[in-house]
Amino acid sequence: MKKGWKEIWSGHDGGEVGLPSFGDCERAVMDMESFLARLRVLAVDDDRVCLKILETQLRHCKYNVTAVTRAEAALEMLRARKDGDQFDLVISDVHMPDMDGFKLLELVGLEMDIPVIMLSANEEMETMMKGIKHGACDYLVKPVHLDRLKNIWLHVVKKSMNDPRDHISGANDDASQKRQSGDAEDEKNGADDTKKHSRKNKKDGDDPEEDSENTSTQKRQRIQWSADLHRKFVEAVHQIGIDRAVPKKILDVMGVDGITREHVASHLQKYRLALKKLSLGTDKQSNPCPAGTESWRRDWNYINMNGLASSPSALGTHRLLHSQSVKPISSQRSLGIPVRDMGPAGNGGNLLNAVVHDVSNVTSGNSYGHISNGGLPSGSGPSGSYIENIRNRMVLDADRSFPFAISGNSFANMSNGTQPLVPGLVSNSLKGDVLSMFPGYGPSQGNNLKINQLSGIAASSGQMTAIGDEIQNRMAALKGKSTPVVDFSEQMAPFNLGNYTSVPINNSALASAPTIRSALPDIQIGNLGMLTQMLNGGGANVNVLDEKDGTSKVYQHATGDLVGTSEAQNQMGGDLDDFFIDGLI
Amino acid sequence: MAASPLNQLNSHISNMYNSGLLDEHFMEMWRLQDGEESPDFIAGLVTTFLTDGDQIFNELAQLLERPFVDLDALSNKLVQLKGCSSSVGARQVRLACVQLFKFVSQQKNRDE
Repeated sequence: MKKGWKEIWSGHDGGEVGLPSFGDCERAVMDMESFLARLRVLAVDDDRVCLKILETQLRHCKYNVTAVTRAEAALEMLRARKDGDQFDLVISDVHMPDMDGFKLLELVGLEMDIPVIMLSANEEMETMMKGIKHGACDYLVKPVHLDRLKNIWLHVVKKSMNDPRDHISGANDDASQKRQSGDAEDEKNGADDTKKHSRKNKKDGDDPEEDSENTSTQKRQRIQWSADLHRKFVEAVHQIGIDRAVPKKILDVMGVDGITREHVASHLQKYRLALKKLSLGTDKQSNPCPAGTESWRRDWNYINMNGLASSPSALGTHRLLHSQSVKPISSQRSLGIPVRDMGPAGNGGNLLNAVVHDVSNVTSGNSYGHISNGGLPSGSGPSGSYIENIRNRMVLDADRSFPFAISGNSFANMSNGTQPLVPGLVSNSLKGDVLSMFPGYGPSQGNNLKINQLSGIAASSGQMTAIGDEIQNRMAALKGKSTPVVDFSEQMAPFNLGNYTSVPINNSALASAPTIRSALPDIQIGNLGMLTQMLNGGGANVNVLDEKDGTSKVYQHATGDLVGTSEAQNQMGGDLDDFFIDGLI
Repeated sequence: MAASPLNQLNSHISNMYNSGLLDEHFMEMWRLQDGEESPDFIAGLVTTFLTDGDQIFNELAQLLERPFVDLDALSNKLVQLKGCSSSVGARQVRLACVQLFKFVSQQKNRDE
């Protein structure tokens, strides 16, 4: 079978990540070419001209290119190759008729986790930032220079380095595993987790070892934040106080060898970002760190599942149980670990949908369902929670039923309904509210009461005003005070006229359009005027192809048109037509 | 003494350069052709550009003729035209697109 580029890549240094040795120049050049030839690039652009140029440029750079005009076709191809021979990189236009480029970007990132480069003539800052926010690893502005395309392979390598599933540094796994077993703390993790451990974790002590093995080209040691490590990190942060936590102090408090201040700093940054994301929660489908998303998600899951990331805090939240046996944390401690996106729908989307969905359930007289923590879409992946989550996002998730355990609570006994409640995620202070909200299921009056309290809680939190508004709208609607809003997107309609921003451009405004056209010649007219004069005067050098009467006449015709009449653009195109199509080549 | 077609072509192109109809990306295309592409590469590309460009012009005109102009659709069309014209090196077309795009954006901002 053909060797993939990864095999070639890793083959250079015996399994280590590092640049190929460039000692032998000839060999290096050949290697580069063969490396590039194995890089499969998928180019997507609805414009034929741009696609052809892009394809040609990429071929010129020696990549293995496949070009498609439709995003749907691109997705099909990507999905078809999931099992093997998958593309390494996708370059896609932003504005496409059949699918938005950003949507394609997200889908590719979620389903295949391949680096995606956005491409567009649109160089507005918001669009460019939107691209990066949606997970693009780069944004190129058309027209794209060949030089820009030469080095896109870097994105591929970068992505594969960040992906822990790639056993590029496979040699160390065994060594790390041996050390792991010796560690007493690991026994807490539980039997099921050793697999994850060995796959993901490097013991701290391994790092210095790895440093010496790595080539000198790799300056920064990539560190895997194991559950242990992260737990220590979080403990340290909470001990110092989240506001005063600086990497140096955290490092000192953690007291672990083998990690540097930089490691802690970047980890702290990610941690803070994740916290912020959670407390805002309106991001529907964002993933702040696309390159490392998979590993990050898994890390969180893993950590939360085992309750290792608990830390002393006054907040009495708790993460819910799974069928695995895990020591329940006392209700006085919060995890301090924010909930991460566990599924493609994202926090915001889930919550809003769940809220709307369940409020409608109330009207039909169903049982209230359960409160679950925001962002827990799947039963198989329990996760921790933040008290803010509860306050802000009282999500009613009709499908869930979570067993829970808070030491000393008799919550489980409370529910008389068919399914157990799960307000176990609630602090002691909030418990009262919640309890009062669920005296039992059934009478719509009671439901109304709950709705009021629910919306009250939601609204008073002040942070998730969007959801609060939504809930209140629905409340009002239910009480017949205002027209109900069917779903969130519709509610947004007033703010954003759908896709149709209309402006009555009457004749006077339209008349200004020609000013643009006539403005054009203003830019050029100096040159043209001079040139025309020159040409007319000299008369000799205007050797324009002639299919009409005279060369100079044709040329003047063109300039004449440029000098500010109507339909300048069309004329221009037409003239170019004349020049090119008839017998040029 | 009639100039050979090649000379005519070259001087025609340089005239276009001088008058600002073309920019350096046109040369980029030539470089690609010199690389390994067939000689039909540029011809095909330009023909495609003219055809597609013409179509976009028509659509733009239609959009502008309406009593209520759909600014978003207009912007999208302009971006598309800007993209292909800039890739081919058609400078004037690109500039026209940029201007109109700016105008449309201002209109949009005025509305919001």
